[in-house]
Amino acid sequence: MKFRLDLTHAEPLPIKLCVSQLSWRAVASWNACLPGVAIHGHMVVMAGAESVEVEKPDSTILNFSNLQKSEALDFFSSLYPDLGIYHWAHLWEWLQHPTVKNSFPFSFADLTEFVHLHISRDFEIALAHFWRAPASFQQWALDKKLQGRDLVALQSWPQALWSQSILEMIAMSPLSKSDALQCIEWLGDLAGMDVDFSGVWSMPAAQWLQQLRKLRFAESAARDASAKNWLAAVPKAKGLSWQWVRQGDQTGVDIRAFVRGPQELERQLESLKKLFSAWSGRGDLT
Amino acid sequence: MNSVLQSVSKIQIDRLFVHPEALDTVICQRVAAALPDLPIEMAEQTPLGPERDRLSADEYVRSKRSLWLTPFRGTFFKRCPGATQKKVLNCCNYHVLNLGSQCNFDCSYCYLQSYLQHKTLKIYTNVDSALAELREMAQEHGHLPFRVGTGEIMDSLSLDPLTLVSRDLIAFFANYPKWTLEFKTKSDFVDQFLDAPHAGNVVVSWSVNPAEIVNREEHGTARLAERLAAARRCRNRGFQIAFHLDPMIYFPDWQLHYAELVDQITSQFSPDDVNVISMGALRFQPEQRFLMKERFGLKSLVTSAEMWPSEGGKLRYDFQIRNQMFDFVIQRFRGHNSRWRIFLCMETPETWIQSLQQTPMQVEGLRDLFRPLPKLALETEVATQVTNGVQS
Ligand code: SF4
Repeated sequence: MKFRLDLTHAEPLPIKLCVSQLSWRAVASWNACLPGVAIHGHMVVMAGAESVEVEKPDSTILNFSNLQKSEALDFFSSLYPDLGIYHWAHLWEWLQHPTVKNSFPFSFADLTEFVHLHISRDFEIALAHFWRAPASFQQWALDKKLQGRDLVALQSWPQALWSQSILEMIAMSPLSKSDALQCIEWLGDLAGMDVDFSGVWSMPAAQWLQQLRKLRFAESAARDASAKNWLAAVPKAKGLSWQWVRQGDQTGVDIRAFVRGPQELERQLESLKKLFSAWSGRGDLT
Repeated sequence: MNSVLQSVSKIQIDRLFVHPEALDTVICQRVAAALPDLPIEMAEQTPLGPERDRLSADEYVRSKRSLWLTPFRGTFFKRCPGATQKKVLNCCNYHVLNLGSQCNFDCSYCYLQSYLQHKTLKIYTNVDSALAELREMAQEHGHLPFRVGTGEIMDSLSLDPLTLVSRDLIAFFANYPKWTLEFKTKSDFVDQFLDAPHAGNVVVSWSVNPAEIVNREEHGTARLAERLAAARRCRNRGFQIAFHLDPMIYFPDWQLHYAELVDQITSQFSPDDVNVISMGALRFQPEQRFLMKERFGLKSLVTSAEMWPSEGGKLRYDFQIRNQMFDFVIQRFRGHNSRWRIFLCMETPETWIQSLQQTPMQVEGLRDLFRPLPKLALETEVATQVTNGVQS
């Protein structure tokens, strides 16, 4: 028997939303049962049925413990096609629980193998790291739909970083998901390189990424800053603007011109010639 | 033969797996004879668990000590990856013959870290099929100057004292003097083939770096002095030799260390001894950095490097730093003798022009390496299959 549903609009929801939007109420909390799944906005499917109560009359309750391993895996992965690290972490803990372990048709290892997820011992360590993170960060991971690979940088975080409340600060900050993840990676790098980054926290969160980049790419930052200063000192004609820019592994001068007449153009060309001579003399910038 | 035994004793293999179809092959017999104390474990499927999209650090380390002898079912022969990115890279006409995968050495920057999915070293035992593929190609293209290397997803010689495949290949290439066979290694394992008769078309090449980098980043490999000594032994037996200063690593006092490296090469070899010197700077796939950091920490010159995304997607040093490094090494070689043939590996046309003031086709002595050769029938076949959506 195959359980395949059209799950185009299925989305695991946090319990809070299940309660408010779907009249779905779990008797036990998240880590004692599986996440609710809303299908087409009205049907709620639950697994581990003893632990939930459903108030909607058209809801469906499924009990995974009635299924064979392969059916259960097949159905489970179609119900939860896109689990984030938050869900995996809870599943991991939930499936370790002795009562679940004895009654549930598959183990965590079965599941990860079935969905071809890279769960090695290292991933389990990453999950364990997730548990070490403060609750605010866990909630942030859920809200931002973090996947396991998003937290891979935590694997190389030195012990000392964990004792600081950095993850909490990140979770409470207005940083975007990608900026926050970049901060996490560079913080791990800097700690491993014995670079002091404590000064960053005295700055507004909007500047953290830029400051961390300066520390992580210290030599490039110094070169770029020196090139910018040099360029700023080269006189330029009216209507002409230029700046030193970095595009990945390349750096150079971004030149823009607005010309109102031939005389202005001539002055700008003169100015560009001066830039050419000044630049030609800077072997370190070519 | 004592020196070969010595080489064997330096190879650390903890477990030996053999596919049932590989058991009676010459390769299996040679490996078993070289490792008499290691029990053979039969393995029809990938040993130590199924393949994964990415290995964990532990699995990756273990994979370097477990050897699986197995037949290979696909196409052995293909064009170097750089040649498939002609738009962004200048690449020589290098073809690769994959006779296995994974490597028993452990360089911190190794690109296999972003690539491997299986948990063992693999050696393909159906070398006769590989040679049959080459023979078929030779019927059409035996007169063209093809360069064939075996060191793309493994070190060409790091396990050769066990398999002795080098001898089979050298004997095969003796029939096709227009073709060149290239071994690329960081080992000093050459004694197993030094007495093999050859047609002067075998290049034994070494990736080299200053001793400081070898010691810090190229774990388990032969030390620089050992590699240069092996190169001298090859030269003395009439083999062509080549050096790849690749990947060059930027670090404090790099000029001092690379100058010393160039001086070591130029004091022991002449431009006539050395087929070519290639250079390339550190580069790797972005996703590889996490495994590297986890395995080697942030004190490594590779993991702590300032790397930037480049055209083509790899992380590279700043363009200006690459130019400075290439320029420095080229000038150092030229300072000794202007006849050293130097080229840049996997680099963009812009870098070529900045460093050598010419593209490869304009450089005397390199033109042949880069002259476009006809597409092989096998390549056309694979391309057609991809276009048609057929999976091999
Ligand atoms: S010798 Fe080459 S293949 Fe082997 S670990 Fe080093 S870089 Fe990788």
